[in-house]
Amino acid sequence: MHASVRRIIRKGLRMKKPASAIIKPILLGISLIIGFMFIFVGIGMEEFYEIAGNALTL
Amino acid sequence: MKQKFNFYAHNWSRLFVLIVSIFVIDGHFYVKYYPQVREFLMNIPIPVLNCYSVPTTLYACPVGTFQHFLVIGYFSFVTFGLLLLIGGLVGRWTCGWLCPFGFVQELLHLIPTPKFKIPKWARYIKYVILLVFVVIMPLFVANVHSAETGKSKMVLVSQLPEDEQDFAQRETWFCRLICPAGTLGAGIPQVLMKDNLKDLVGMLYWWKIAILFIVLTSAVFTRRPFCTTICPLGAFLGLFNRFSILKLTFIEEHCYNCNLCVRDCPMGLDPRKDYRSPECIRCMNCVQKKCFAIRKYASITDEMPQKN
Repeated sequence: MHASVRRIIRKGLRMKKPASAIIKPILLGISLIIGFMFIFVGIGMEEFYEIAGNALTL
Repeated sequence: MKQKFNFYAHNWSRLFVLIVSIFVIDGHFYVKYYPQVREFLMNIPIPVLNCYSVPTTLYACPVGTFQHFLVIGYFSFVTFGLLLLIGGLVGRWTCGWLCPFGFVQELLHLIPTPKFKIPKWARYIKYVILLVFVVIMPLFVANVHSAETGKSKMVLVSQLPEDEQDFAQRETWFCRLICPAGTLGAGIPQVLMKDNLKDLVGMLYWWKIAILFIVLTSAVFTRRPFCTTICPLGAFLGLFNRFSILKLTFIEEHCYNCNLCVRDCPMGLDPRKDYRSPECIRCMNCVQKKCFAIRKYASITDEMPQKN
């Protein structure tokens, strides 16, 4: 393993922060990234036409 | 101190945004002569409970759209992605600042009557509704119409003969059986306006009217009962409250127990303890108080940024 990676892991293990302080930003990042990704995937799949079709026929 | 609900005290900006949001969401009047604009806007699900059967609406409902896609055997990437994005950015903020049905409940709560608290266990009902009526039932339960009796009944798709399973009529069950926002905005006006729909009024219609009546009546006596106990959208967005970018915090040294924040919380919470609760709709009523004990901030981490 590269020395810089080992240094980061060692630094992480020494941190006195509670687990939630680390997990929460990770969850936030995941939700934002997946959110953006899904929107672009949906647009790419022309999902909007289906939404509109459903909305207008109901 | 008298614990009288003083809803819009010091928070006129929210009242203004709520009123504007009604005209933006249900703004069919000003695009009446531009059907192509409506067609475009109807593509966009917005993170509030807003039935797309409402004659005046311009946008799609995320709960209805999500179910509709499950019914036809797809996953709605746009709707789910949008909810993840909004949840990550602001948590349940849209419930407090944009939702027209929440606004109706808050207005009803201003009627002077004895007020009651909703028990804490009732908050978990909405997660069951989200899972059962929005996710599981549209996937696995079909509505079968019997030609002999003329009645419909709910049947598990797996119980149908194999050749009928592909054509089974799955339903958007939350919209069909529960959603009172749809009944108020779409069901009642549609039946009143269109004579041909009056013949279709049956048990299901009266069932939904009963749900709407219970929700609106209980809104007079309790704070936002639908949002607290039923709303699947609120249940989903509430999951993000603990780590969304928009956050609230409580500074104990600044609090002198005036209880103004408790009095004005539209969800009936104690903001001093529940400032990160999934029930908090980020209305900011508690932030506006003179003690400055509850503060809002935007940050990726839990720590409030220090001002220089």
